[in-house]
Amino acid sequence: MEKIVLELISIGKFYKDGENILWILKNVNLKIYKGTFISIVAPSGSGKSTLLNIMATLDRPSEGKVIIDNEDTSKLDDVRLSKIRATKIGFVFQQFNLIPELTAYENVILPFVFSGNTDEEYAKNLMIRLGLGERLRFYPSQLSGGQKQRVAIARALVNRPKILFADEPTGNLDPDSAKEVLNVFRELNRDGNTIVLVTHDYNIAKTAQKIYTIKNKTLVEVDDI
Amino acid sequence: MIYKLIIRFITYNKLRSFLVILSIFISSLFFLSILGFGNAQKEQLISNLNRLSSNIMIIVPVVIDNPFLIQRAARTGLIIETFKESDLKSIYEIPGVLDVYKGAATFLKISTKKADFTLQVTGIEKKGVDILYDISELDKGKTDLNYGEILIGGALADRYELRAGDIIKINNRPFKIAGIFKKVGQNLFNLDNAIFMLVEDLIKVAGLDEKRVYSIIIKFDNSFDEKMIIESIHEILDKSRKINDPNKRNYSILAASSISQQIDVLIDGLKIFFLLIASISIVVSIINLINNLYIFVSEKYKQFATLKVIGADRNFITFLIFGMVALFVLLGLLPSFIIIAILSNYLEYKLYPSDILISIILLGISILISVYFPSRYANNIEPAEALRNE
Repeated sequence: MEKIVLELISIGKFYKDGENILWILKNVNLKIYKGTFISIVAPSGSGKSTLLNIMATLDRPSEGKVIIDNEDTSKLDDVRLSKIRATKIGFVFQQFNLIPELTAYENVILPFVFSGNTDEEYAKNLMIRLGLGERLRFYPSQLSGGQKQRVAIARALVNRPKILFADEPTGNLDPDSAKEVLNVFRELNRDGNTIVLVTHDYNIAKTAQKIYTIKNKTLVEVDDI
Repeated sequence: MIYKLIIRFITYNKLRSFLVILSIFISSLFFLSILGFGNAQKEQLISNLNRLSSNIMIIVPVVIDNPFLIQRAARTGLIIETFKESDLKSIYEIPGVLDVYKGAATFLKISTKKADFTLQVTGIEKKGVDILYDISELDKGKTDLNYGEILIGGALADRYELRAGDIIKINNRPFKIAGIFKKVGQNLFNLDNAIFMLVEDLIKVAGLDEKRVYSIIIKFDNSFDEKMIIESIHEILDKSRKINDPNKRNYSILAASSISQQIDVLIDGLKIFFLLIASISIVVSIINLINNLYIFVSEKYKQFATLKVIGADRNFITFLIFGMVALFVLLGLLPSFIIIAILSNYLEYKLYPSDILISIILLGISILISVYFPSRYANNIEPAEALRNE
């Protein structure tokens, strides 16, 4: 039987505005198996980023459970959540969010500080595999958009996470670079990485094996694409 | 990696970091200078006073709470009632008193080749001139003092380029410099800046009444209790002046120990005042540091959020801010320590264990405050909120 890497059970998220309750997500259920590549496609403001943040333990659900690698994260304290983010989760942002004061290589090995890993050889090989072998000592300001995003992907993967989240990873890239980055995600998935990609663009969402959308504040699989 | 990050974050805005370090440097230098040099100067002053004037007392016919007010009292003519010849005889009878001399002091116009100025001139009986040589040796000239001659302090001679044998005018009368004292620092007579002449000369040149005794100088035996001698002098003078209430005494007894205590209190007061100012400058530099770190965290808002996303916990963020504060403080303190070390080759520097303890506590509190507020701000950053795209 395939291993479940992440499971969402009856996730709900609401914000209080005085006495009114504003629901963003309701009764979201999802099982993500090891090695799958799913995408969540929905227009802006639909709650997809909120869902991604909840899955990646950056935000807490108002109700329900998030189980990552058999561990219920809903009741964990901040220190334990930080440890889970350091060891089990990789995150790729739309705006790369690299540390400008560090070189590409230093950005990639930065998560070692939090995970306790020291496999610098793996980090270097990862960068070489992502086409960054010549750019190790470059600072983010000296890299193109596509290169920055590949550095961000390498940083997200350096601790061999159980699951990789990508929030609009091509949103800030030109079409060629976007294509290049999507190919990287396909390759990573072929190598057995579990990936969750969030986008508002159906063409990008098609990169994944399964596509979900948010309808009536809940997550539904899209079959007809 | 964390140390690299701390250094890169500090060098991120070099000018701002430099200004923070500069403010820490200035305030710490100010604080340490007042503390260490103040202590050393005080110790030196008191030790000179005790060493050089330990067997001499001066009785003056004015009420002086502060030894530094002697000159002002003399200048403003606060003398109400001078002493009598009989007072001298009675004081001489006190056990432990070795000798009693008549003296006087007043401000006179001095004319030298270099400048004209007004200075307090002290007159002393011929037989009492020897007590000056208990305080310091002559640098130049002769020890014997005759009519028409003066002895001057080393600092005064340097300032006005005076040499033994030179003639200067005091109230338009010529006086020959018989001798110049070696510089000795602070003492009862302020010897380094003093002019001495025979009391008879002073009475004439200043137009004083020769029948009066303007001040009494006492040489006593160190093995006797100074307090007992002072008590006996009070008894004699209170009786002679018909004073029943010690608070209504119109004369003062200046002794090295009492002056030391007064100077001690006075310098401590001054030290506390300046330390207060120095502490304010430290507080300002801490506020400056906290403010800069707040600005830094605001500017690096997304990067702190990113660090949290990739696994940084509260301890890491706090340590990062602590590292920055520690480096700022270290870079600010280091040059001030170096400057103090260099200056201490030329000036006496003394830190008491209590000062070191207070400084360490102050430093610890400063660092804690500087770390606490910016790190709390950084730790409260919500990554989901900070990294939101839309």
